[in-house]
Amino acid sequence: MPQAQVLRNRPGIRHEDWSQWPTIPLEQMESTFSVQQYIQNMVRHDASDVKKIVEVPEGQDRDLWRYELLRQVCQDLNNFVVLLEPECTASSCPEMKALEWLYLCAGHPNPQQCSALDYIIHTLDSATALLNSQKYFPSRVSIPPTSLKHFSNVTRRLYRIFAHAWFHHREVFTEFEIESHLYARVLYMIKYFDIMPDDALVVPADACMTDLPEIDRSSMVSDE
Amino acid sequence: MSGSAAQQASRGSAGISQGTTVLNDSNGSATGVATYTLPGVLHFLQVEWRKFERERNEWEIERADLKARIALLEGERRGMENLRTDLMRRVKMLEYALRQERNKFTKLRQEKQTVSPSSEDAVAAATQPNAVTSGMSAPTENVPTLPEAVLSAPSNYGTLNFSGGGMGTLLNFSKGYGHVRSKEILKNYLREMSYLLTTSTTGGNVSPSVNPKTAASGNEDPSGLESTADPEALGRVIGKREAARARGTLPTARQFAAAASEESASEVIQGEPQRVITKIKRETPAAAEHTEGSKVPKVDTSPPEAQENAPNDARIQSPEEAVEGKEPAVKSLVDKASNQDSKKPKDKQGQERKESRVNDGRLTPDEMQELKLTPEKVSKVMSRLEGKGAHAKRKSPAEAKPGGIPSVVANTLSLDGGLATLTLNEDDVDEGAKKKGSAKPANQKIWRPKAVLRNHMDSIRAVAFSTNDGALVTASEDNTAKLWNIGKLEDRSKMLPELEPVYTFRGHTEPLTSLAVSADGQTCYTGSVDATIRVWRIPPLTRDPYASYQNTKQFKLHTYVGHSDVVWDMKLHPLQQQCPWLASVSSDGALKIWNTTPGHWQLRSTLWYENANRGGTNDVVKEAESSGLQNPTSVDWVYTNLNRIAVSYQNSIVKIFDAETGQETLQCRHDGTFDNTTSGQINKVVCHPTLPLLITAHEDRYIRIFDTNTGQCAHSMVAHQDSVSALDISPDGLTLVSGGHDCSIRWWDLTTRKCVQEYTSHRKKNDEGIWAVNFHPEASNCMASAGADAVCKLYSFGTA
Repeated sequence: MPQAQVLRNRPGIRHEDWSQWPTIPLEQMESTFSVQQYIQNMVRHDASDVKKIVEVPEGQDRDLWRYELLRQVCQDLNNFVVLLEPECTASSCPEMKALEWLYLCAGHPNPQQCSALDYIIHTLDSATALLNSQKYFPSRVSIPPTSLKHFSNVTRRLYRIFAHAWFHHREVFTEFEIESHLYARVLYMIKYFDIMPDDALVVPADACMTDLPEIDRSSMVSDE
Repeated sequence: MSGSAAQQASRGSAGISQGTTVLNDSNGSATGVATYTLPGVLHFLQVEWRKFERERNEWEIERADLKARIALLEGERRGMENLRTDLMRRVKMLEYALRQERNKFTKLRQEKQTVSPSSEDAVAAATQPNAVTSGMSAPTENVPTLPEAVLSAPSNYGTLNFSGGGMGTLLNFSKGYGHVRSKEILKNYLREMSYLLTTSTTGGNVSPSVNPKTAASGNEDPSGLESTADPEALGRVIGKREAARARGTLPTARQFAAAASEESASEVIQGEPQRVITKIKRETPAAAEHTEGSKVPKVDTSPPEAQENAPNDARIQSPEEAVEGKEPAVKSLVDKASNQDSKKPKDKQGQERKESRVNDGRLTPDEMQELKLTPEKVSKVMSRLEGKGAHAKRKSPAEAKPGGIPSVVANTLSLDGGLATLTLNEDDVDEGAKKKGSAKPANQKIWRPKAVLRNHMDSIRAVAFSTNDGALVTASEDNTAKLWNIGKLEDRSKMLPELEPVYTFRGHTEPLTSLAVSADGQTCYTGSVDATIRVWRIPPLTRDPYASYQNTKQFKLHTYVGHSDVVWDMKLHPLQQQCPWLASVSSDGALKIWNTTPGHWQLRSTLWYENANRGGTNDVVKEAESSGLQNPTSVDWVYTNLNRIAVSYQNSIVKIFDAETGQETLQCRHDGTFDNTTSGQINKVVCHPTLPLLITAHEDRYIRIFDTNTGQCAHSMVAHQDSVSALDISPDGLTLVSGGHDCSIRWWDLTTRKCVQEYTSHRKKNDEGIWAVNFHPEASNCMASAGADAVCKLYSFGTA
C-alpha cells in the first residue's frame, strides 16, 4: 500500500484491508480520540491480550481510559446481541436470570422486570446513552470526577449480560467469546479496576478462552 | 347589503385607529367621517402598513447601529485593558528599578557619608530619565478613569512625543524599550477597530480603511457608497464617515458635527452643505499653517494641536494613492488623486494642500445629500463617536511610524508615513472583511448548526433524512444504525435530557458503510463491511426507546446476500413505483441491482467494471488490469436519464451503465490525474437532480463536474484542504455541499461554482474527518453531517 500511513478506510477497499494499519504508539497520536484509536488497534491486533488492552498505560488518564474501555465494550456488545437475539427470546427467557439471581431492568424510570433480551437491549442502550451524555461525559478528553460512579454501575450491569448468556445460552457465549474475548476483557476490567468482589462473579473462571493474567494488587490504588 | 356590511366593517377597523384624520387628509376625495369607501380604507391601510414597515426598518437600522456600537466599545475596552496592564507592568518595573537605585544610592551614601541630603533626589532622578518619570504618571493617572482618560491619554502621549524624552519613544513603540508586544496589542486593537467599523456590509468594506482618508479629507470615497443600493448600509457608512471626519479635524469636529446635524435635521438641501464645506476649508488651511510652523525641528515648541494635524495631513495624500490602486471605478476620483500625485513633490507647501482640500470639498454636496437620508442617525452617531472614536483614530499615526520617526519628521515625510499607515490599515480591513464574511451578519442567510446527535460509539459513515417529517437515520462503524426523531428537537426545552434514538438497528456484524431511505419513509437499507445489505422497516417515531424488543422482528424485513465484500454505497431508484430497484456497489467489484418489492427481494442484475460479463472483452480487461483498481466506490442514478446509472471507481473513472441492458454507455474521466494509486480516487459521485451533470469528490481534494451527455469534465476545482469524502446536491439543484477529511463542510453555489460558506465541524479520528453530508430530500434548507467523531449534526439555512 503506497499510502499506508494515511489511517483511513477509503471507499472501495476490500474487507481484508479494513483498518489494516500498523499499531501506532499512543504518544504519537495527536487526535482527540487517541485512546479510542489505541484501544481499537489493540483489540484488532489481538483481542485475547486483555492485559495490554485493559491496563492503563503509563502517563494515561486512568478515568479516561476506563471511559474509552467501556465505550468499546458497549460497541462490541452489539455483535453479541446480534448473536443472542435468535436464541434468547421472550418465550425462552421471560426473566433476566443468571444462576439463582433475578435482575430488574434499570433502563426505565422505575426498575422493572423485563425479559432477558429486553434487559440486555435496554441495558446496552442506556449504557450507550449514558456514555454519550453531554451531561455526564461532556468531553472525551477528561472525565468529570462526579461521573466516575457510573463506571462501576454500568460495568456491573454489562457483566450480567455475560452471566445470563453463560448459564442459559452457553453455545452462543462460547461462539462469541472464542472470537472476541470480550468476556475476558470485561472480567479483567472488573478485577483490574476492582469493581466487583470475587464472590459476586458468578461465571466460573474457565469461561474465558484466554489465560487471565494475575492482578498485581500492590501496584494499584482502589478508586471505588 | 354586502356593501353596507363592508362599510361597517371598514368603519370599525379604521375608526379605532387614530389615523382617521390621516386618512381624510391624505385622501382628499374622502368627504367626511361617515363616508368611508372600501378603496379609501384599503389605501389607508396600505399607507399605514408602509409607515409601519418604514418605522420597522428604521428601528432595525438603529438596532444594528447600536449593536455595532456595543461591539466597538467592547473592543475599545479590551484594547484599553491590554494597554493598561502593559503600562502597569512597566510602572512596576520602573518603580522596582527606582527602588534598586535608591538602595544603591543609600548604600553608597552610607559608605561615603559625604553626600548631602539634598543631592539624594537629584541622584534618584538622574537615574531615571526625566521624561519617563513624568510620563509614567500621566498614563497611570489616566487609566483608571477610563472613558475620559481614553481621550486625554493620547494627547499626553503626543506632547511627550515632542519632548523627545524616553516616554515619547516608548509610546511610539520604538525598539528602544523593546515593547514589541504593546505594539502588537495596538495593532490587534487597530485591526479590531477597523473590523468593527466594517459592520455595514457592502460599502462598509471601504469605509474603515477610509478612516484615515475621511479623517482628513473625508470626501474621496463616495464610490463605495454610491454602489451600495442598500440604504441601511449607506446610512451607517455615512454615519461612520461623518464620525471619522469629526475625529480627524479634531478641535472643530464638534462644530462641524453640530452644523451637520443641524442641517440634516432641518433638511436644507443645497445651501447648508456648502457652509460645512467652507468650514472645512477654513479649518484645514489653518491646520496646514500650524503644521507649517511645526515643521521646524524645534519640536517642543509646537502645540499639540499642530501635531494632531500633522498625521492627518499625512493621511490626506496617501489615501488618494490608494484610491487609485483600489477603486479604479471611480475615475473622477482617480483623476483628482493623480492630480495630487503630481503635486505631491511640492507638497511641503501648505498652499497646495489647501487646494487639494478645496478639490475635496467639491464632492461634499453629494455626500451631504446622501447624508440626509438618515439625518437623525448621523447626528447621533456623530455625537457619540466624536468622543469615543477619537482615541482610536489617533492611534494610527503613532503606529504609522514604526521606525520611530519622530512625528515632526513624519510631517515633512507625510507621504511615506501616511502610505505606510494606509496599506497597513487596508490589509487589516481585508482581514476584517473576510472574518466578517464567515462569522458575522446576523441578518444574513447562512447555514447554522441546529442540533448535535450523540449516541453512536464509532464513526458515522452515512446519514439520511426520511421524507417522513422528523425521521433521520444514521449508520455507524459501531455496527448499528439508529433512528432519530428530530422533530422532537423543536419542542424540546433545554431542561430535558438529550435526545436518544428511537430505535437502534442491530443486525450487522461489521461496520456499516452506506444507507438508503425509501422515498415514502417506510423502509431503510443499510450496507455493511459484512457484505450484506439489510432492509428494515422504520419503526414509528412515537416508539418508546425502552419498549420491549419482543416485536422488533417485524422491523427486519430482509437481508440481501450476494456481495462477497464490503458494500460501499447504494442508491434507490428515484421512481420506486415503476422501478423498485436498489443499486449497490461493493469492493468485490460488482454493481448489483436488487428488487425492492417486498416478498420479491431478488437480485435483478450484476454489472462489472468490464460490462455485463465478468470476462469482458480483451482490451477492457487489459485496461482494467493495468490499474488493478477497478473497485467501485460510489453509485448514483442519472436523474436526467433514469435508465442510466453512474458508478465511480478507485481509478477515478466514472462509468455510466444502462441499467436495463447492462452496457456501458459512457465514461467520464479526467486525464492526467490517475497515478495508479488510490490517492486520486473518487470517494463519492452524485448526479444533479435536473441537469445532465454529475459531480465527483476526489481523494486528492478535487471536486469535478462532468457532463453526463458527453462525458466531458466541465469543471475541476480544489475544494478542500484534505480529501473530499462526501457530497450532496440540494433538492432544488442550486447548492452543492461537500465534506472532507479536513473536517470542514463547504457549500457551493452551483451556478457560479463558488464556495459560499464554510463551516468547520467534527473532529478527526485517525485520518478521517467527515464521512457524510446530506440534504433533506425535500427541504433545501435542512441538512445533516456526520463524521469519524461519532457525532451527527443538523444544520438549517436561515437568518437566526
